[in-house]
Amino acid sequence: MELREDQLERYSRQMFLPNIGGEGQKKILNAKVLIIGAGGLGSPCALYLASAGVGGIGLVDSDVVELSNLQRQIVHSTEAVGKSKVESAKKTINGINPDVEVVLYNFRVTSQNILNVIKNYDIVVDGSDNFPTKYLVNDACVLANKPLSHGGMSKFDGQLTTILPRQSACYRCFFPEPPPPGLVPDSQEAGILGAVAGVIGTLQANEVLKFILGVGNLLAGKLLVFNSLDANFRQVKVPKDPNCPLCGDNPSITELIDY
Amino acid sequence: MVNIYLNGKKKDIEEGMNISDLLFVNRIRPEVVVVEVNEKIIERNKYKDTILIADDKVEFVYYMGGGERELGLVKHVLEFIGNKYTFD
Repeated sequence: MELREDQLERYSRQMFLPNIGGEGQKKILNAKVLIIGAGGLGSPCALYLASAGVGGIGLVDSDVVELSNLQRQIVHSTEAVGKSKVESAKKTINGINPDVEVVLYNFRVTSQNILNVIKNYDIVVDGSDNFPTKYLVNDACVLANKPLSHGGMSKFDGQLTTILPRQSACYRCFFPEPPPPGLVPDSQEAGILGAVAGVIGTLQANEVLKFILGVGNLLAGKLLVFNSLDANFRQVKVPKDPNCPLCGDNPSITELIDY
Repeated sequence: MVNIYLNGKKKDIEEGMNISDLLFVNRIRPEVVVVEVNEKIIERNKYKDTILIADDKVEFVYYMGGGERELGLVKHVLEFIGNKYTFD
């Protein structure tokens, strides 16, 4: 594959970087990334991946754009209110970079369909908004041996980690079971600052690009916790748990669960 | 007093406190966090037996969801700002 002249110009600022160059750019152009949730985390992530030239982006979301999404879901515009989120996101992505092949999954992932969806991708980004989906995505990625960027946020805080199945801690090594329903608010109850979603979603894109390029140190086995009020980042090391119910030595979870 | 690090910040606690005590004085329900001491996750049934000592690095790691479903938030905001209208 040879880069076209317009591609050389479009990607020149990142191709100048050591460890990227033409070879790295080709890796990015050949990469396929699945983003689950075209919302607060998925928006900035999709925008930066599209801008960087990721060749294939899959988007999973069954919702339509609402006015109250726009405070943080920056891939959508006011005129998209009432329209499908994945269609709206595709329009924005291809507006920025028409080369990106965007594949739309206008449904919710379930234990029945998720393995079929993730199998076509090099890495998965979890930008979902609820714990049942977060556990389903983690479990599916571990069982299918698919790298995963996990992100979460609440109020003024956010967190992310990168999961290399069977090599580094999975989400269940941190949090073996979902929290009891109702005790931990998701953001519809807790609220969220849009810029916090931007920080975490952008860092997820950064992890994905590092993974594609094979450069730097991934957040594998580490949870990066962002507190916007104190303006600090902290890394919490989490070793892979040999007793993890999913990726431990004697797993009790061997098939997907719909919570 | 014993000096520990709680989520990276220095903190003085009473001598002999265990993890359950530390959660209690910080008004944190055990169900909403995972507790790590010196980079090791502590199982919930070991909280009372885990006495904190000087220089322990304690992390309360919170579950964090994401953010899309909206009507709940809208109602909440209306309650919050005292709007007389409801969405029901």
